[in-house]
Amino acid sequence: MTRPALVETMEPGDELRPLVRVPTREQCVRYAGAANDFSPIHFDDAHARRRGFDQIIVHGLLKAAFLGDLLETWSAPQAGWVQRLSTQYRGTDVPGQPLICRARVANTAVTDGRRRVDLELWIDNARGETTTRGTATVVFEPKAEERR
Amino acid sequence: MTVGAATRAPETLSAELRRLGSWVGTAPRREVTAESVARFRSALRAAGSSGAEDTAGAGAAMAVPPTYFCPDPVAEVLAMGLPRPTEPAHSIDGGSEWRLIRPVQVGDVLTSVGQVVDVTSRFARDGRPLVRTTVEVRTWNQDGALVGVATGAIVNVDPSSSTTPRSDVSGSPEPKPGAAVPSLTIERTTMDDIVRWTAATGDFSPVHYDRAVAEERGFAGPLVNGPWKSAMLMQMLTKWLGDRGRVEHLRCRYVRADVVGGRLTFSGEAKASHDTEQEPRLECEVWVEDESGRRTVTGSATVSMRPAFAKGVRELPVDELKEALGVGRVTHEFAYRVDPNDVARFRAAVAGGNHPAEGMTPLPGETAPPTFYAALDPVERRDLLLEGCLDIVPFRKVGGGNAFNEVVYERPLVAGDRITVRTSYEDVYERPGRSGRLLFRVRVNKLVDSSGSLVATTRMGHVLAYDLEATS
Repeated sequence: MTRPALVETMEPGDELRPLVRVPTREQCVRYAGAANDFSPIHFDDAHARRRGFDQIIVHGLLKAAFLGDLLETWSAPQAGWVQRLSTQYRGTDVPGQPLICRARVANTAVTDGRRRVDLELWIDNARGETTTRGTATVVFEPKAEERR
Repeated sequence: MTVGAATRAPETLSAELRRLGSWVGTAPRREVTAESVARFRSALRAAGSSGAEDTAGAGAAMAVPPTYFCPDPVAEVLAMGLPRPTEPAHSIDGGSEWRLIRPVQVGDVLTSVGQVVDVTSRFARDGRPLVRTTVEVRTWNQDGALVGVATGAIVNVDPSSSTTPRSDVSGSPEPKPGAAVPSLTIERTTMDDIVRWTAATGDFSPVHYDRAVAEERGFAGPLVNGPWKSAMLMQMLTKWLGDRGRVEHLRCRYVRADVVGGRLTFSGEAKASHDTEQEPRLECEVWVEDESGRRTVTGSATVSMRPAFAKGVRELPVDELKEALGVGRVTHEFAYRVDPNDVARFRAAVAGGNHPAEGMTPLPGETAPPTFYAALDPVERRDLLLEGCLDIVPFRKVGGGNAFNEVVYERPLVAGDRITVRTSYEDVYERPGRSGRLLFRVRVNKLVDSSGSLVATTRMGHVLAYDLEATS
């Protein structure tokens, strides 16, 4: 198992290990229930077709959540937390197709012992389209020995 | 009161009748209740308005039909106790007119004053003396603002002729080219329509429900109320306009009586527009035809169009939507708990079986996933329903969805938090896009914890695409 990249050693341009997710129809239903977002376009094919899609589409916010998951998986073991997350949805995605969730360090800064890492985020789908873009700031609280 | 006699010449009659012109009556102040509005709408239900439409936009103010403030000006002034000529003995409703100044809302308190404004007499085309009494009802709301002026015409004719009163206008003109208003057809008027109208308006003239009285007056059966026909024409116009404009003025002449039981077709056509003012106006001709194609009501309407919907203007009504969403003005507040089980369910849904351990319920104080703010959004939760205002967009929707989401945390959301969400719309704007004109709505949620500290601020951007060449 690869360990998460240590934040102290990361520089602008470094990428996190991508997270690959294949959202399923069931996951869309589960997410609708978990997020209280019951727009039928995410679980009703007939409704989606009336709206001009071939089938249901994945929630934009589920894709944002995948990016959140990518950031948490990297930062939580190092006492980091997602302080800011911004996502824009440029294209739609359908269940059953892999989504490659990526993050690249844009900037790092340390103030009062807290390290702030700004990242660029994006999701590519199997057709090579970037359907989601975003930015985030992850804050790492000082470690015990650094606080002294 | 008896005025004049049928045998006297119209000019003699006129002098006496004019004295009526100073009479003024006042109706008791009355509150516009949801029940009375429902009763009025029920009287027009034959026009195809379903119950669903009547309650459209639950929580929103119930739409009050335009002529509600005075559905039948003649019945209204008679209820106020105003006198009218009793001879010639048979009176019919000659026509009605409404100037609609300000929409009425449920909860308003209306005060009406009625007045006889004119009395004229002449000989009808068949030689019978005819007296026409014009009455006017002006109605104000609780703020002292005039909501509308309704005018009615009482036509008294001699009963000697037993035929259906004839039209006092010559044959119906052929409609000229122009935008046709989608017509309404009532296959068969029923006593039920009449009784509902009577209940809504309080017009208990027996000629509308008592067959013996109607036959004695020379009609084949009870008569459909003229103002009911006007109200149906009004309904036709308001359905056609939707939110694109409103009827300012409707004038109808009841040129033939309709016996209950026949088919009636309500039609209209836009004739001319006056684009000289800020609010462009459209003149329409309206009419009602019986089953043999005779026009039994002729009339005209003036409608004012919202600027955005005026001819040639193809813009989204951004300012109206800003107003409807309360941009920069209105904040809605909702209280939610960050339930540990909900957090577990959210994590499990996002993980999709990739890390089974994430389905475990967090302990209070454990961090929620960074996008958990989505589960606390009052709009996605359908706790805040403001989508109804989009009905005013007259164009066809061709797509839409979430455009962007942003969150800035002051501290992470944790299981067990009690969060108050304050939602307000920050902006509405439009932009050209590939799939049509794009309408963006941006709302801001402030998430505050039980100690009053700000936890997070989110911005939720939603987009809809409209085809400005296609109307909805």
